[in-house]
Amino acid sequence: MWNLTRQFTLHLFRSKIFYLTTLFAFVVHFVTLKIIDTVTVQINEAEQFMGPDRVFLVLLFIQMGVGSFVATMYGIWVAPYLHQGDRLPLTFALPVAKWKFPIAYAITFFVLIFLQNTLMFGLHGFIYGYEDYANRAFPLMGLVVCNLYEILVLEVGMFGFALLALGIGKLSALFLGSLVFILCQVAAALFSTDLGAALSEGSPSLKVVGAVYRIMPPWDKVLNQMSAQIQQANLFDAGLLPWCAWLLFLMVGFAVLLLYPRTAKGAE
Amino acid sequence: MNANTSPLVHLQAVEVRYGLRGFVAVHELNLKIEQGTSFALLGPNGAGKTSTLRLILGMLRPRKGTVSVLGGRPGSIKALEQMGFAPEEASAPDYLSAQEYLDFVAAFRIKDKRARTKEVEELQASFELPPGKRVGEFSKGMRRKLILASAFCGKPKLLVLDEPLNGLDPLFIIKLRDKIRDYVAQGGTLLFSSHILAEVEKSCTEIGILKQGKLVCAEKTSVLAERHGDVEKAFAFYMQGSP
Repeated sequence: MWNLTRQFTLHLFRSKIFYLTTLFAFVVHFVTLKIIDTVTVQINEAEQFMGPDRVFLVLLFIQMGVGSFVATMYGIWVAPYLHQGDRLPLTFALPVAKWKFPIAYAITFFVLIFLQNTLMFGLHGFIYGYEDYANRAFPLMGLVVCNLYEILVLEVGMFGFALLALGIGKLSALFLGSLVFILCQVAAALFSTDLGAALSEGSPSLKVVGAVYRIMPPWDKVLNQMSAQIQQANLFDAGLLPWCAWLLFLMVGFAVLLLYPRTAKGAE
Repeated sequence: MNANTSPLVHLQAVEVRYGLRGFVAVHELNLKIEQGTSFALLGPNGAGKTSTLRLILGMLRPRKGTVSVLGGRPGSIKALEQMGFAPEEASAPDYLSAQEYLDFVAAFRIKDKRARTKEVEELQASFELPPGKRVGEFSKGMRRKLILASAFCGKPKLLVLDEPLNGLDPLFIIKLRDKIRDYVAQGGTLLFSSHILAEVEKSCTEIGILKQGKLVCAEKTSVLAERHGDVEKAFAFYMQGSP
């Protein structure tokens, strides 16, 4: 496992994706913090300012966006790299259990997101002062739960794209994965309101759509969960279970595709 | 590399089909490869050579028949641990140097760290691999040498080489031939697929000829050469029905 994790981390640190996304995360967080800081000063006179929980919530929302981009890149281009094309037979011939690959990818991706989150914390300290972290009012537990939740959600996204990329190819994975995500959002808008319930009563096909939506990863609840958790951290109420189940399902699927690779009829 | 009476590779009435239309790549294939032999699999393009090697590796599952490799299921950790494989079209990851890639492969095959380092150094030297360069900067021949070096890594019981001579310079082909001979002389078993018939005659003790997914001949190289004059004529005989 260590050999694989070391190998994938090396791949990450030697790829442009890592440096580009880290630079992107740095710029986005820095600019956001600067804007928030400026706004705080202006509103301060009216004794309204953003506390660290609010500032971090904004940063976490932004990090979710950056992280989603990174998860897409990692899932489509990095994770399947050794398992497709002319590298497939070489990787397949390695005497290592196939289930170890998704675990090693999950660890490497965790390291990547962890680094970006550290960057986020570092920049916050740089602008607001590091003494804030020692303040008793600082929402440390809330942030821990939010980060855990964020990483879990991003791991699910990453493995979703990786599984699709292994199964149907990179470009198709990008389009189909994005389409599924968008459809989940549309379904959420429909079925989380009374309108969806009213419409599905007269339509059996909409009932089926609603049933599918309910078993899909709850993307639409991510931001609400984070807002709630940062204020009142409760690990058991953080809605981690469906994400854990999806992560497990996708990792098993990934390992199965490694065990039964798609081998097109090649030139003999 | 201990002596073993059961065949190292045993395929019984194997059939492989591809795609929805069920194109038959390998048909009713029976093949036995004993320990200590160097077996060449010959055939024209599309005869089923790569499919047969993929079966042995465990990448393909047969529609019918059974495959046993090193006494176990093909693709199992036990089988892969004792097997070196160099596919025809393959490249190590671009972001690694030759040493890093060999280290990565060796870590799965050699547990002792000191022995591993020694093996990697020896392979790097004998396959003339540059120390610092990354694979992305390698020529086609260099990439081929690295894949061959990784197949030899850990002194496997069974070595499967798919068109190993592609992209190699003539001097290195001579060197590789010596390496293969040494390997077989030390008790290793070689399964070799190639289009270069003269090379097969020099390096292999047994030959199997595939035609449209069927094994039309499995014989000792010396017997074939004696019967038909040389391997080239024997191959032509089985392909066209006349030499």
